[in-house]
Amino acid sequence: MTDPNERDGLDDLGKRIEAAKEKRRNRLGGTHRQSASASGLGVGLRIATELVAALGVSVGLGLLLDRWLGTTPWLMLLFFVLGAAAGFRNVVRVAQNYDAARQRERNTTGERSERAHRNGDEEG
Amino acid sequence: MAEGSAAEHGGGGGLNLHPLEQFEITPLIPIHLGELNISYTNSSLWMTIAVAIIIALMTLPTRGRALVPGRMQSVAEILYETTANMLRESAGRDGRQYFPFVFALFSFLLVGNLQGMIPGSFTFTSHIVVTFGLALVVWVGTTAIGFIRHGVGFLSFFVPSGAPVWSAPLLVMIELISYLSRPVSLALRLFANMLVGHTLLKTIGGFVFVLGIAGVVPLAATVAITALEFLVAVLQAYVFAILSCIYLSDALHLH
Repeated sequence: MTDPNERDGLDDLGKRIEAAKEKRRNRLGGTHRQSASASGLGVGLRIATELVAALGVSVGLGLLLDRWLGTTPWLMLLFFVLGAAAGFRNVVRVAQNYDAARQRERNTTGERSERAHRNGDEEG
Repeated sequence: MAEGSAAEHGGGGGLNLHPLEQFEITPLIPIHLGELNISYTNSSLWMTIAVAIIIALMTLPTRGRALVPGRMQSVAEILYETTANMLRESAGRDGRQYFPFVFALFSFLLVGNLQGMIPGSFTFTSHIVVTFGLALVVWVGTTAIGFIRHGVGFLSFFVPSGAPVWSAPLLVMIELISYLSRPVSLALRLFANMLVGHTLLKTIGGFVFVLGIAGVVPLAATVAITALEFLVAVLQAYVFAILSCIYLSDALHLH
């Protein structure tokens, strides 16, 4: 039923598909790195607005409460400090997320290159 | 709001440049519903065009469902895969059911930002009303999802773990303010980036004719900034969408 010639052909095809897949995987790794550097720019742009937004929201809240309770300017001052703290909290969170994402990426690319290495050993 | 500022700043200066005129909202079909002004404006027109482009992109080239995709089908597939990856990486498997919303948001903002790069077009994402409206939808939506999923337990999101008990009231206040600032920072980032970029382009572009032969310098700058603006347009749509995914993940997983 199975013609040895055909089997050879299939094995050959299998090898070629595997090689093509490996190539594609490496290429995907390349674009991933590129998107990481682009998202680095995104992270940089994020940090500035996170700081400003937290401070702005907080001071606005303080001013509103002051007007409502008639305690000008004390709540505004209090919320200014709290807003600054919240802004820094935001920035720290952005940095933590970024670190975690990079760590994940490093792990996956590490596995990938290790696998490529092992495949190379088998073939050699 | 932008209407007023355009009128204020556009008139000043001896150069007769109107860098903010491009953000002016003009009603195309005036509709008044009692006190409400719900006219169909140039902003609405470009939003309609954006939706039409997205629908055309997602339906027409994929109609054949070719195994080897054509050019336009590739674009549609890349858009789909980018959104799916973004959602999976930031919100995990639980986030999958919210894919339609994230995809609609991302493609709407992306097409809207890129439309702004067509000379003479209107950039609807350069208005804080639009971006804040979208940010508010995301924020209210994710908060609602958090409460539906976890009930009152969602409030534990605001209590940081591993801190001494006496500092809890202070930390809860800080976390609360940080949470409240989310829609503001989301809206502000996109709006400011689009507004600044387009104003800069128009201002520097205006110098080209004024400076005569030395106008080559601002011309080169305009070319460079145009390229940068394409990057910013894509990047800001991406940042908006990925932050929505992260907020969704916070609501789903509470951390």
